[in-house]
Amino acid sequence: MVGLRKIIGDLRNAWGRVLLLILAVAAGQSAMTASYSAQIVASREIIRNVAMASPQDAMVEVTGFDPAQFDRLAPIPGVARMDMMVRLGARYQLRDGTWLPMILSGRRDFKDLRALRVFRQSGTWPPRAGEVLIERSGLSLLEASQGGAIRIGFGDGQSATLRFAGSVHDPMQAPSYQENALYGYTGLETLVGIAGPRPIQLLLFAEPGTSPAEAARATADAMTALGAQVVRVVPTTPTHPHGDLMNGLLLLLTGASVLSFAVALFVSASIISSLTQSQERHIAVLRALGASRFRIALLHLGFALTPALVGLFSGAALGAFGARLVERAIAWQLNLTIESSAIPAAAELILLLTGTVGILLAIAIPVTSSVRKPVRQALQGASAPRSRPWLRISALPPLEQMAFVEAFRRPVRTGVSVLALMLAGAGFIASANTYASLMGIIDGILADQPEDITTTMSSPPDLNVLRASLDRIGTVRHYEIWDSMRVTVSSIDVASDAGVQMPLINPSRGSEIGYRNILAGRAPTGPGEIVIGELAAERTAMGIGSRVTLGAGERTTDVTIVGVFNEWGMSMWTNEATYARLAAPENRAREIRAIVDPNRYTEASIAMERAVLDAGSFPTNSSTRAGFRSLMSNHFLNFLQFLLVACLTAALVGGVALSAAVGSNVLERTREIGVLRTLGATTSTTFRLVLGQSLSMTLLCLALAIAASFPLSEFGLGLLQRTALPATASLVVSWTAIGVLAAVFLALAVFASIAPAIRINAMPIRTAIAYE
Amino acid sequence: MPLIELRGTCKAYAREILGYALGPIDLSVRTGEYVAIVGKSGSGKTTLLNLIAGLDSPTRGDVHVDGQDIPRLSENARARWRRSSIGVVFQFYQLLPTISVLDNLLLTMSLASRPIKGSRKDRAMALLASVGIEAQAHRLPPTLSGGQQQRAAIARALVNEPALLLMDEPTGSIDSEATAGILDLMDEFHRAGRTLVVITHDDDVAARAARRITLHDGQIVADEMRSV
Repeated sequence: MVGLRKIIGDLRNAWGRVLLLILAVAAGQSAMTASYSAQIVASREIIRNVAMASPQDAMVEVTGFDPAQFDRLAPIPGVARMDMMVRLGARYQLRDGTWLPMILSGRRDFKDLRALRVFRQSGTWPPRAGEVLIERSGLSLLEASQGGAIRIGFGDGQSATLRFAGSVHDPMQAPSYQENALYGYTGLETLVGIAGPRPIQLLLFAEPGTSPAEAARATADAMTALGAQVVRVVPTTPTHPHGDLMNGLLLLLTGASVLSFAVALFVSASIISSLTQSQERHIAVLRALGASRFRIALLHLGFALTPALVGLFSGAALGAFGARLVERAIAWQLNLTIESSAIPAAAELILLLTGTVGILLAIAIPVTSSVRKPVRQALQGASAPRSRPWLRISALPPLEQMAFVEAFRRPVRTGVSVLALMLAGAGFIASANTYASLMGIIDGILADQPEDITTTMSSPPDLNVLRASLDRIGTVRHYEIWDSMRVTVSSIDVASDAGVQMPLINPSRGSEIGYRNILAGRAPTGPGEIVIGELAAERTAMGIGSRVTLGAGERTTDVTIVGVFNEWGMSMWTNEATYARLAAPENRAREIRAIVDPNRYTEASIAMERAVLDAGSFPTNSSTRAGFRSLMSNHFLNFLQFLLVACLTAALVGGVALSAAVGSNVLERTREIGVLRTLGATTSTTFRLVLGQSLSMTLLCLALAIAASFPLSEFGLGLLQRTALPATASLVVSWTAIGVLAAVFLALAVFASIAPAIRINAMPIRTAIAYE
Repeated sequence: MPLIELRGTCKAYAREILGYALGPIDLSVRTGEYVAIVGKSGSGKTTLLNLIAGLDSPTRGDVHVDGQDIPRLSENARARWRRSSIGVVFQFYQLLPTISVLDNLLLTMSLASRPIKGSRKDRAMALLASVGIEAQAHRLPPTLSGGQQQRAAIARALVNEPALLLMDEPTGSIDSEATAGILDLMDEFHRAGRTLVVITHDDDVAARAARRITLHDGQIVADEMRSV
């Protein structure tokens, strides 16, 4: 009972540090629990969603195939079963006259979706003739309520009005709110009825023992035998489009959390060490009176374990809650359905065991060290601080010098806070650098392109009418009408038998807008010459001097790459002489590039689209300078927020570590600060001394964070480059982020100094100078 | 007007429910006096010194030092007053251990921010030379002997040229040879016109003072003037 009363009394006396200990343990355990649980759940749910939605082995796209023949197809060797769909690019018209891109899928039978499955969310199922279902993530973009009509435009100038009948979930699509595009689903007959015959996608399942490639080849042969033309064959990749990137980010989050947990343990050990030190003389007296080391160790253990266990269990509960939040964020980012948030019992056990063992270690080290100290030494109290001549900077004024020495007098204690804050800071700067680098690509491209708006057209317009209409638009300062078409680059070996498809663009003759910024080589001036986008060159291992064959329909031509230019995505540019070798009449006049009055992009875009409609064509897509930048910015930020969560976790632990380190340092120097007050130090002088310590630590953190952020930024950018980026990026340093971090660290230093400074100033001087 | 004047001054600590640790006492010390305050442990010597130095407040009564009503000053005002008006020397030196001896003096000077002739460093070095530890100026205090540390503490107490020097058992932690040196130094400073109040239970130290005040159970039981 005496021991218990002592423990309770000691806890009450040191409530500030006890609270810090609970915070440190809770922060570390919750970070580890949240990220590890979320990673387990997310990895499992990504696989489950993909397997559930996209179980097919390959897709064969054909033209000249009548969908009505599907049910009468003879069995194809090696193919267990098939499904069929049509997918095409369309547009949805908003009330203000602008259009949103829309991917429209026509499904054979909604009651028997075998491949690329979508799942009912609300409304009519299956959709009746003339009805469309909308992917759930796009409902916020839709300006119609269920049962209402929506107007959809197609590439060939046709448009139709469909009834919005309900919503579905399509796990294989990135969310509409990220892509700023809608996904619609209708019956196949409805789609073909309003958009005309389209290429049919056959989604097939290979029989056991047959490879997807063999099954796809057999299907392609069977289709050819029926008189259809095979456009492309694509084996199914059983992964979510952003799954690899998300797993990489989650791995980073888990790594940061494990490090945060390790730092939290160091902080806990440091706090416990300072708590046991303040108990040393009492304990020594007990030992001098005959208490055994075991009994003393039990007292220490009870003293340290109580707050540690409170921290551990509250951290585990907080972590479980945090995991749900992270999972919801992932589901939102990837458009997934989380079926279950449960994690295996073994994983739960690992988390709890890791936490418990970690805490016991964090307690055992300082307790053992304290108990093993000889009684005589413990009775003498605190020893003189170790001399560290390397810490003396004689150029500093004495007070600042004293603060600096105090800050680094205990390298392990300081190192832990510095490590955590450095990680948080480096992660924050790296995230900002990555964002700045990505936006740097976009801004570089936008700076290189004089045009503000690009409007693509479904078919060649009546040029006289179009020019007359465009001339009447006051906000359009200059425009050009360019040719473009999709071509197949046949010598490139990618996941397609028919090669990779890319847009081939031919600027108008005498163009003022001209070619993109040529990074290497020169502009394509002669016949048979093209330039290629930087990413396309990198992804296809082509470069200046490479000879490739371009195909468009029945026509082919051999060309030479003479330059590489800066471009988002993959495309090629050429001149009239080369373009003419491939172009049919329908490949002419397919784009308007316009320079408009600053900040009147939307107004000009709407007017240009009306001009296209007046000229007998249909605007398939409009991209404005501001719209493109905003879309890309949102896209990047959505993913970087995971890194920022990891940084926040590390910053929280680092902040606790810094507060604990400064608090312990000040406590250990109570007597010296008391002496300083005797010499005439005012409360502001004392605060300066404490703040000087915190600032010394945070300045070091800032310097290290900046240094570490460069390789981390390179790593992050490299990861994105390999997994998701359709362009090459070079590192841009975000000075704003460095400024923000410096301000945050300054605030942290002030925050960490306030409580110790108040405590030391509130202590009577006679108590302070007698402190041991 | 006396430099130090206490009238009906008492001090009780929270746990002392049966009486005062000090007082009520009346005490006057004139400028230039050399006063030794003696008494057994627990007699109230250190409490008296803390009240004179403004390190603690009396429970009742007045404490005037160098014209200042000490209990009425705020904590920060007392700190500012201490910087320029008094120097304190402790039994265990209480030098700041992580900065050099010279920096201990420079820090004390920088707190006072008093204008001085020449550079602060020159003045500090001159003072260290006067107490005989100029060679140890750049060393950390824990690397010095007890006597050297106490000399450094005295130099630090004098660095802002205070009107009053308060010393709490200045020789309590040093050997006899070092004690003689410290006492000579104290004599020297007294001869230079400074007021010294020394708390001690060492008769040899007390014998150097012209006035000897004896405390017992918080009361002044003797106040003797002696010729030295």
